[in-house]
Amino acid sequence: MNSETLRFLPRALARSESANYHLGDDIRLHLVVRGHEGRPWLIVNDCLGGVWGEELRLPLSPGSARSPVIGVAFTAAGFLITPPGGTPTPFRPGQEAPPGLTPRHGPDVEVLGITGAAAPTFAGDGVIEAAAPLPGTGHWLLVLRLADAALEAALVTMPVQIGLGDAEGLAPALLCALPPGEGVLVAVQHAGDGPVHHVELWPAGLKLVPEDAVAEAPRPLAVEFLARLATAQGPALRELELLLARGFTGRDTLASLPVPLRMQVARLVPTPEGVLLQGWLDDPHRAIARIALRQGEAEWALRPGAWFDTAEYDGQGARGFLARVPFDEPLGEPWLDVTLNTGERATLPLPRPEAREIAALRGVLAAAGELPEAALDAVFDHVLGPPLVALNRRRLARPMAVEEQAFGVPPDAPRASLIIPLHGRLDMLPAQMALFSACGMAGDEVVFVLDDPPRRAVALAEAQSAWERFGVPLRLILPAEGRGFGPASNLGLERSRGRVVCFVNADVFPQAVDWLDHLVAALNDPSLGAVGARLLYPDGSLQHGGMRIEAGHAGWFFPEHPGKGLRAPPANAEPHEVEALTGACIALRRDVAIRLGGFDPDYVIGDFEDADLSARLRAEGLRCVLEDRAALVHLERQSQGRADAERGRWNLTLLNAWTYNRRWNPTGTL
Amino acid sequence: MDLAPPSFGHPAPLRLLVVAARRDTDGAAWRGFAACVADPSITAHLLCGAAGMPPPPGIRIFQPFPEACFLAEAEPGFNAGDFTQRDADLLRRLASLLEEMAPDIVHLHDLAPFGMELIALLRREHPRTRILLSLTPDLARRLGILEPLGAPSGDFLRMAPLRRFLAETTLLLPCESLLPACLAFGLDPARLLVHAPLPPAVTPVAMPPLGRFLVVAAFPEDEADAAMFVTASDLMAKIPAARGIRLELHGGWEGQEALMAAASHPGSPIALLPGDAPRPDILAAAHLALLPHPEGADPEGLAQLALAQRRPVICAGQGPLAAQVQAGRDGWHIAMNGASLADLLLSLHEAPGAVAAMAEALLEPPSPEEAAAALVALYREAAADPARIAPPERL
Repeated sequence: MNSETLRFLPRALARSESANYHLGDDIRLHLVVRGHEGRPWLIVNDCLGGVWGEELRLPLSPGSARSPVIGVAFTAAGFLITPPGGTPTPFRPGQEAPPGLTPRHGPDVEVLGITGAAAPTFAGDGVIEAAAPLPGTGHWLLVLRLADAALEAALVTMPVQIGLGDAEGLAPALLCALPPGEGVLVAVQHAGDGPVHHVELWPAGLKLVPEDAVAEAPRPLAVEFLARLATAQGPALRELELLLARGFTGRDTLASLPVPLRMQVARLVPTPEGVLLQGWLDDPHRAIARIALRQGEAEWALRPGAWFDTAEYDGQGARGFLARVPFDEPLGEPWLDVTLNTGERATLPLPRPEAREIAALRGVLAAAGELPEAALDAVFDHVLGPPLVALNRRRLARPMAVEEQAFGVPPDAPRASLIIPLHGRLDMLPAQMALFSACGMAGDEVVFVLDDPPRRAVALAEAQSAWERFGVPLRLILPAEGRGFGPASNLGLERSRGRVVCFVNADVFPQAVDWLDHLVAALNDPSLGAVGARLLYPDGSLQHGGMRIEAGHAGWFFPEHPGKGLRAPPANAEPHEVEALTGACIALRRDVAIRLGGFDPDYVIGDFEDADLSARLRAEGLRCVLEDRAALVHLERQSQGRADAERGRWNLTLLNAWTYNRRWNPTGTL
Repeated sequence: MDLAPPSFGHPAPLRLLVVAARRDTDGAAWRGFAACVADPSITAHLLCGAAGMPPPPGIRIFQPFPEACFLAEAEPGFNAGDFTQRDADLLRRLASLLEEMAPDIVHLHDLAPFGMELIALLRREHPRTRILLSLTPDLARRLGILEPLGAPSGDFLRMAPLRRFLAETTLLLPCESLLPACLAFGLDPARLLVHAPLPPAVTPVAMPPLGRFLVVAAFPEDEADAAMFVTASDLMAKIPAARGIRLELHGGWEGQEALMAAASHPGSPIALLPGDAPRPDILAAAHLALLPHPEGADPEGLAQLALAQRRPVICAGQGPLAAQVQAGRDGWHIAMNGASLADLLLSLHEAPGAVAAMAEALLEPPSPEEAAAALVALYREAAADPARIAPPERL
C-alpha cells in the first residue's frame, strides 16, 4: 500500500471517530477532525509506547470540513498527509513509513481508494467505480478509472461522448480529474434509471465495466459525488458544479437564491390519495413562481387549490401551510423544486415519510391549527379529507393479530353481549364490574376490547382482579394495535355471541339495575334498529336523551344532545323514537349489527360513527328509540372543547364531520 | 377452627359473624360479640384484621386467642382510600371460612380491612345473609358519606362502587343526625336504622370534689384548636377567679409551639399531657370533658364514654356530635373560640353546682344486659325480615 484516500463522513465528525494505522501496540498514524479555536482542524498524531506525540494540525475550510477527503501517502521519507484542497504535508519527516501497518478506522471513516506501488491492473480498458443518477437534471454521475493514466489525464481536456448502459447513442459528457489514482468524475446526460453494466467512452473507443466484475456499478448518493467534486480539477469543473447545484443532492439550496426565502417541510405523509405536506414558508417578496414535488425525473406541481395557508406561524415569521400533491408513485427520495419568478431554482430536501399513520394524521390535524369556518369545505374537500380518510383506511386494512383471555366462565349462549372498548384509563374497569355485579347479568357476557396495546399488562391485571373481587365473568380481547372506538367495537362485535349486542363506553355505569333488561326487551320489536339508554351525569343532569342532527359549524350537520347538562325531564314509561343515538350505550340485535358491519371505521378515533350508524338504520327503515328506564351514568366531560381548546382534537372532529356530511348531506340540504 | 356444630333436632341457633377492623376489647364490636357469645341461642364469631399481629408462616387467617375470634392478615391488600381489598388469596380464604360459618347475620363495624369485597363475597356466595353495618360518624367521614371539613365532593368512581355495596347492607346509625347525609349519598331509607350502640363497659364513678375544676380535652392536632386554647389560656390567666381551673389536653400537641408556650406561662390553666386520647380513668378524675373538634380521634366514642361515666360534655353546636350531646341534657354547646370557652369554663367554675346538677341529671345509659338484649332483638328482626336481603333497585 502506498497511499489511501479517506473520507470522514459527517457522523464520523460528530462522533470524533478517527482513522488509525497500527503497528503492534503502537499507533503510527492517527487522524481525526476536531474543532479548535472556533475552526475545524485535521489533527495528525502518533502514539508510541502508550505516549502520544506532538500533534500536527492542518486547517480545514468550513465547507470541506463537513465531510473531508484526506489523502495519506506512505513513503520512504515518512507519511504525507493531503487535506482537502491542500498540498501534501509530511508528518514525522525523515522516518520511513513502516510496512505492515494495520488500518483501524472508525465505522464512519470511508476508504475511497487505495493505490499500490504497482500500476492498476484492469482486465479491460478500465472500470466503473460508481454510477448514479443526479435527480432533477437528467444526468448521471460516474467515477471512472482508466487503465491508461495518461489517456485519463488527456480526456479531461477534450470533448468526450459517453454511451451508458444499454441506452442507444452517445451523449456529451463533462469530465474532471480526481486526485492521482482516483480516476475521473463524469456527468453525462442519461434519462434511464436502470443499473449500469458498462460504459462506452469516445473518442478513445474504450469499454468500461464495473470494478471487480460485479454485475452493476454501485450507486452512491449524489451527495457523495459532491465530496469527490471537492477534489476534482479540470476545465469542466464550473459546469459540473452548476449541474450539481441544479440537481437534487440532498441539500437545501434555498439559501443560494438571491432573495430572502425560508421554507421547511416538517411532515411528509404519503397516502393512497396523494402526499400531504405540512410545513412553514416565509416568502416576503412573493418571489416564488412555482413549487413542485419531484422524484427522479417526474414532477408534480403544488396547485393553489390543494394548498392551504394555516393561521399558525413558526415564531420566526414563516407561516404554516398544508398541501396535497397528487403523487401516485411508490415513494423514493422526493424533494421540492422551488422556482422563482426569475427562473432561478433551488431544491429543498423532505423529511422521512411518517411511518405511523395515526400519528401522522393527528400531527397534520394539530398543525392545521384553527381552521377558518369559511375555508372548511375547501380545506377538507381538496387538501385534508380524501388523503386522511384514505390513510385511515390503509391503516385499518392491515391484518392484525388478536388474542383473547377469559376470566371466569361466560354463559354459553348469552342473552346479550356488552362490548366495551378500553383506552387510556383502565381504573374504570373494576368500578364498572362492581356495578354490573348488581345488575343480574348472569345470562349476559361482558367483552372488553383493549384498544391500547401498551397497557396490556395493566388490563390483564385489572380484569383478573375484577373477576376475583366481583365475580362477574368477562372476556378481554387484546388486538395488537389500537385502532379507535369504532374498529375496537367492531372487533368486539365479531367475537361476541349474544343475541343482542350492546356497545358501552368504559365510562358508562349503570344506575338502574334492570337497565339491560329494558334494552333487550325493547329490541323484541322488529321495527326497531337500535335502542339507546338515558345517560346522566353524576349530578343527575342529562347527558344523553337522544341526539338531533343540527346545522352547526360551517353549515355542516352535527349530532347534538338536546337538554345536555340540564335537569333530566321525567322519564318516559315506554321507548320513544329519536333521530340518533349515542354510541356510549347503544344496543342492537346481533344480526342487524353484523349486517351493517357495526360502526363505520371511516370515522377516525371515535366521533360521528354513532350518528352514522343511526342514519344507516333509518335508511333501512329501522327506527332508533331511547329507553329512559335504562338509566346509566356517563362520565363524559360536561363541556366539550371547541376551536379554542385542543385544536388537533377539534380538527379530528371536523374531519369526521366532513366524512359524515359528505356521506349523508353531500349537497348541504339535509 | 372453632365452629359450633349444627343443633340437630333443635331450633338452629342464629349464626352471627361480627367483623371489626381489629381486635379491640374496648371496642363496640367486641362488646357486641361478647354479649352474643353469652346467649345460647346465638353462635357468634368475630373476624378482625390482624392489625400487625403476624400469622404463622403460610397462614392468612388464624386464631391466636381462645374465643371464636379469627384474625386475618388483610391489611396489605387493603386500600383505605377507596375501601377495596385486592388480595385475591385472602378473598378465597375468606370465602372458605364463610362457607363453613354460613352466617345468618354479618355485622360489620367497619369496611376496613376487608373492603367492599367482603360484602361482594357475602352477597355472591351467601345471598340470604343479612349484612348490617354500624355507621359511626367516623366511618361515615372516611367513606365520604359525611364530607370531611374542607374536603372536595367525592368523585364518582370511588363513590359508586361503595354505594353499590352499601346498598346491600342495612346501616345502623347511632343517631338521627346521620340520616340526611346517608340519604344524600343515595342510600335507600328503608335500609337505614337508628340503633344506639352498646354503651361502653364502664362503671360510673362519683365526681371529684368541685374545689379544683378539671376539664379534660381531646386535642385533635388542629392549628385552629391550638389557637383557641392559646386565647382561652391568655384570657383565663389574667383572671384570678380562674385559678382553680385546670384544662388538661390529651393528644398530639407536640409541635404546636404557641400552645406549648401558652401552657408554660405562669397562671395558665392548660396542662399538656401525653397520650392519644383521654382514657376512662382520666375521664373519671375530671369534672367535664371538652371535645373541641367534631373530627379526629372518635369524638362520638369519647362523648359516649364520658356520658357513661356521668361526666357532662362541652362541644360545638354542629354536626353529629352535637346531635349526640344535646345542650342542656348532656352538656353545653359553645362556639369553639377562645373567648367562648374561657367564658363558659369561668362561669361553670364560679357556679360549680351547675356541673354537679348536669352530671346528676344525665340520662342513665341502658344496662349492658338491656343493650345486649336490644342488639340480639335487632339481629333476630333482621334475620326474619326478607326486605333486608332484597337486591337494590338503583345503584
